[in-house]
Amino acid sequence: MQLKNYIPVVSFLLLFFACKVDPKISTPFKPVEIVPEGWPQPVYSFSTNTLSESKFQLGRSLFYETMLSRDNTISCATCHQSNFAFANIGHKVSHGINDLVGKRNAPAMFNLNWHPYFMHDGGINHIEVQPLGPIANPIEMDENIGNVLEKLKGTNKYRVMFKNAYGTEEISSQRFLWAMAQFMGLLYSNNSKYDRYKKGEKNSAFTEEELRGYNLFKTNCNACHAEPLFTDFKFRNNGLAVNPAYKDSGRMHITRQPEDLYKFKTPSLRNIEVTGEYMHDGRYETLEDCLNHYTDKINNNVNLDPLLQNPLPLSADNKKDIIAFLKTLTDTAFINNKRFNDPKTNP
Amino acid sequence: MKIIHQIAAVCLLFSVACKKDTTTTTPDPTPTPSGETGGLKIELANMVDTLPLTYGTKYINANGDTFTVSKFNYYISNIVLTKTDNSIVSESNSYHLIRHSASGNTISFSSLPAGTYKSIKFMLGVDSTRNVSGSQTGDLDPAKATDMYWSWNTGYIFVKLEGSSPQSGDLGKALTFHIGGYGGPNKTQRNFSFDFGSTTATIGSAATPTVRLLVDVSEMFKNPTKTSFATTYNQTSPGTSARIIADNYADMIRLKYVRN
Repeated sequence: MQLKNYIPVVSFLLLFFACKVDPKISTPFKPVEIVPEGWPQPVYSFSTNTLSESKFQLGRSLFYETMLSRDNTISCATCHQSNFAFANIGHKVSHGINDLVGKRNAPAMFNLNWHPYFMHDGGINHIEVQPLGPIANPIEMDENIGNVLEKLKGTNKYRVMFKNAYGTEEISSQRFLWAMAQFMGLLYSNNSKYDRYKKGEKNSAFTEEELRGYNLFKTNCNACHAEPLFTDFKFRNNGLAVNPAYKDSGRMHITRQPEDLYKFKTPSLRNIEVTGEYMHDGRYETLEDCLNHYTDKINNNVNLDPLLQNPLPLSADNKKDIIAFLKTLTDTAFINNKRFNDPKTNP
Repeated sequence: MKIIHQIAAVCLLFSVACKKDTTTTTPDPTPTPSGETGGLKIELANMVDTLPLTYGTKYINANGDTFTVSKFNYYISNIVLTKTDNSIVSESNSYHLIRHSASGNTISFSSLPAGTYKSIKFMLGVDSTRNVSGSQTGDLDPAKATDMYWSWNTGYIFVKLEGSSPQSGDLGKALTFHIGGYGGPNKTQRNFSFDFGSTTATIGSAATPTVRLLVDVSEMFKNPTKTSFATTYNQTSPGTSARIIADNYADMIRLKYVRN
């Protein structure tokens, strides 16, 4: 009996064990909607947009598709990078088509089913129609959704993907938007050290520093960055001096109401360690800068938030503790999830 | 055998799902079980005062400003017809994007329950629900109505009028009125209701009545707030100024006649 005669047997055995070890390898992935324990009900559920792996994969493919832009150079992922919780690393404000520069920092993307509205000014009211904003924006993708669909229809790849997802090759805006909503809506981030600590999981105890930081957070930050989503989804003016380069009116751009001038949607602090630069215009590079803002740099703007009329009473040590806590909100399983990466490089 | 059953069940589910999709995009209402159906034509005659609207023609607004029109689009939605016996026929998924056409604009129904109808009501604009419910189809499909949809501030443009005026405060003398806003105090949908009076519409297999409506552009700028194009010439987002135009257009549609 030669050794090589064993090879098929051994490899079969290996395969068998591989299946045993990770059942996902042999079972097709079925995306499911989740509401983590202790979280509110999401605003969006997939009730009329029935989840399927093929629709998720279509949405994923479209998220990384540069045909969404007029000159086929910009995809959603150009400004939303999965390894940084879909924030735009290294860009204070987003860079769009023809090197045009926007006036706002591309926000991170996760737990989007809980968002009652999108964009820093809340102008977009539903996750399904969110992609229409950047597609049409002349300094982002500068494309017409009708043209995008025509381009997709011209490819065998998408005709097949739409057929797999919906049963026929028809490529309509609703099918396009439903698939994108599945990809975006399934970007759950609920597995940070904080989440495991709250569940009392083993090996997830906070250090003394993190615990002190958490307590300081609850006293000083939680009123706006409310647990468990770490945002209250309200529009607030947090005392950032108006950037003369942009003169961004914020929420008032949408409502035309003077009381909304310079207000922006409270961002979630989940994954905040990796989503710099910070603030709606990316003016701060570090978490230290952000905390220094709340102790030393609050500008007495019109409509300054009532909760920030006085600087936050935080010492240098307090800030270190808070930052240690904020880092417990980093969800490495989420940011390293290959299912959220470009399918062209991570099939 | 079991597998075949399962496949059949899946196929059935699929076909039901697809069926459902098509009914929601079909504009005609479900006919009553009684059987006989008939058609109805709603003609929308776009006007400026007493003149038919023609792109490029010079008109004068209530303020005395000269203007021409290059684009006039609007949504008519939620059409409801009432029979003389007070029963109501509502068009399902009733959204009609009207783009002014020199050859006329018509909304046609082909299978309404037969009977004698005494009134019609509808909305100019798109109800709040459809503005907040994500992706839509038919005349609300943003790929087909791209120029009637605000992607940055979600919502449909209900009435769009573009043109020019020598009095316009705009450098290029343009007039740009994109009127929308679906909720709150500045909502811009307006409801219209017309009683057919003594000339009821008799719908049945034998005849297709016509309801002719006049849509008068000049009313957008007349009352209660007279518009001067020198100061009001570019209105492209929801808000107070849009609502003022909407208050003006609240009476821009009139019933001309019902013809059997």
